[in-house]
Amino acid sequence: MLLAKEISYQHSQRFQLQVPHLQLKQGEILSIIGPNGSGKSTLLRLLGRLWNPTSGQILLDGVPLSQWDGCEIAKRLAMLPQVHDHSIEWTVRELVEFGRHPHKTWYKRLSPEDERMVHWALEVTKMDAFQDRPLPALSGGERQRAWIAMTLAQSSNILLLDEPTTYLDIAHQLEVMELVKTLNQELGLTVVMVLHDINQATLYSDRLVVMKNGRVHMDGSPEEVIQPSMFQDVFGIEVSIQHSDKPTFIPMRTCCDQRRK
Amino acid sequence: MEGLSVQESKGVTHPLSRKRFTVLILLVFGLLGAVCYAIFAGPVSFTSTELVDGVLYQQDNMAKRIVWDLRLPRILIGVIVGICLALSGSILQGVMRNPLSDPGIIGVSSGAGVVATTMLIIFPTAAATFLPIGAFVGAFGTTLLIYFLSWNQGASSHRIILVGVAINALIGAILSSLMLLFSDRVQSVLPWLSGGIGGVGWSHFQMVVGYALIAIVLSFFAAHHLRVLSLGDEVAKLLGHRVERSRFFLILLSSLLAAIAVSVSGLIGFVGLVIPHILRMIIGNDARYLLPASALGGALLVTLADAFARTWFDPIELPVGVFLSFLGGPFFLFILLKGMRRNATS
Repeated sequence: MLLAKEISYQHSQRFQLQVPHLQLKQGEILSIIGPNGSGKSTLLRLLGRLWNPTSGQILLDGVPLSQWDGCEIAKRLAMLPQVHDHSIEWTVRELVEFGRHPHKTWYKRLSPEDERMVHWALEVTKMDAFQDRPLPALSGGERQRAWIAMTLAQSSNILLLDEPTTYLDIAHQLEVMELVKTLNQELGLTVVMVLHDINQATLYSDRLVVMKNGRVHMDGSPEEVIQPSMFQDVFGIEVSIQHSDKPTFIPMRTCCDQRRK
Repeated sequence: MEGLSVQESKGVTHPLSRKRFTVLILLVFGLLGAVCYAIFAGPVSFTSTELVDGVLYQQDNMAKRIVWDLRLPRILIGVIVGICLALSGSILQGVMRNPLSDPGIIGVSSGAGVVATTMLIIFPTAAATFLPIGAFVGAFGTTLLIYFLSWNQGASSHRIILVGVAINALIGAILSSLMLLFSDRVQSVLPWLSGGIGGVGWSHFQMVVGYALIAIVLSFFAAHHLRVLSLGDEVAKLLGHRVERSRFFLILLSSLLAAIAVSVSGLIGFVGLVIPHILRMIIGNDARYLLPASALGGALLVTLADAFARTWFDPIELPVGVFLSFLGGPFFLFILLKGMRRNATS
């Protein structure tokens, strides 16, 4: 699994990320939450090797990411970054076939195994009916599912998602979150995602990591993390917390005495 | 099971697939037509039997001399130049993610031009064989310079154009200074600078055909790299793709293509910009179809334009570069405005 050891990342003069220890457990859904500029996405990008830590190491199955071959990582760890090009005119299927990129030599045709994985990825994301549609003809939620299908076709066991629900309406947001839950429960996929919506993070995650000013402020189960004091310290807001199956919060007002940095 | 059978029966059902094949086939026939027209067009006209007799049999007659020694090499070079310019343009536009990256606009062609001019003026003897290599060095150097100067956590497409335009201006100044310094020898370079393939012969064809074949074969590999890169640098990297290596290969290839065209035809603009742009509006942005269609379209345009340029303005022969700019500028504006209106109404 993925383990971050003593990593730091200098983004600019003002911002530095420091994480002494963060271990991903097999089969969990971990959500990273925190205010803007707290380093959520930075942490995810470091874990996904889009950026290299200034110091420290991130280990995948005990071996530092820097020593892995790119394709070998891609077979174990898939990530969907936030921005996608909307000008891509391929069909859903053509996009999903790119998920097999790390598994095959580029001039070879798809093997039966590749075909099977592509078909499976389309099916599990319920995109099989849309597979011959070009991407621009899809709705935002369908397009996001198509991209997730592409990462699934990589057949990795770790999936990193950077704000997978941004710009989607609430029904599509839930659709994506439920897909993530299904993938986790039925396939044992380990998921790490950055989420803005804390209630969604609570509802769908096993573990929450709260970031503040480039540090891990809290790390624990939703029940441990969702406390009025956390919202006060990290977001500078007062909330009321409702306890049902999982705790949810309703924002009340900002704290006047403690300005968010 | 149901899903599988559906998938098998469907095959290629991309909404653009019919258009793509129609366009490719039309372009093939268009190019054949243009070549035939160019063989027959000219101040001296022949019947087809005269032509066949003259070209195929070893008689030394008018038909042979005009068609075999003058028109045919010129047509073939026109085809090569068109293919190279259009491929160079569409590859550059793909790798720099900017539809304005035309080798002529961002200074790649003039980079090739400045080295080629220097060779022609200062080392005229070496130019006969090494002109394509010199042009390639110039084109590649300029492309790399543009690329690195516009690098700011990823090459942003706005910066590429700005940097390219600035470099183009700088190279223009160098070219002008060269001309002033060596004003006695400039006469030989002038027609070349305005871009034309008048007066080319089999020796020119032999000079470029090898390079052109290599570059065109390499372009078959370009489509895959362009497609992976169009996923975005980050997604491509996450899929284990070596993004920088791909990009370097593509830049190298587009410089080579531009240099081949420049070394034999001088500075012909607009082909690399207009052809991929028009085709992209019809068949979309997928490199697997856009590259071959651009190659055919470029060849068609240059062959046809050259045939017109040398026959329509009798007795003078207009350089095809000048003719294309006259034609290409307004036509491109027309296309843009039409496209804008369509976007506005839909």
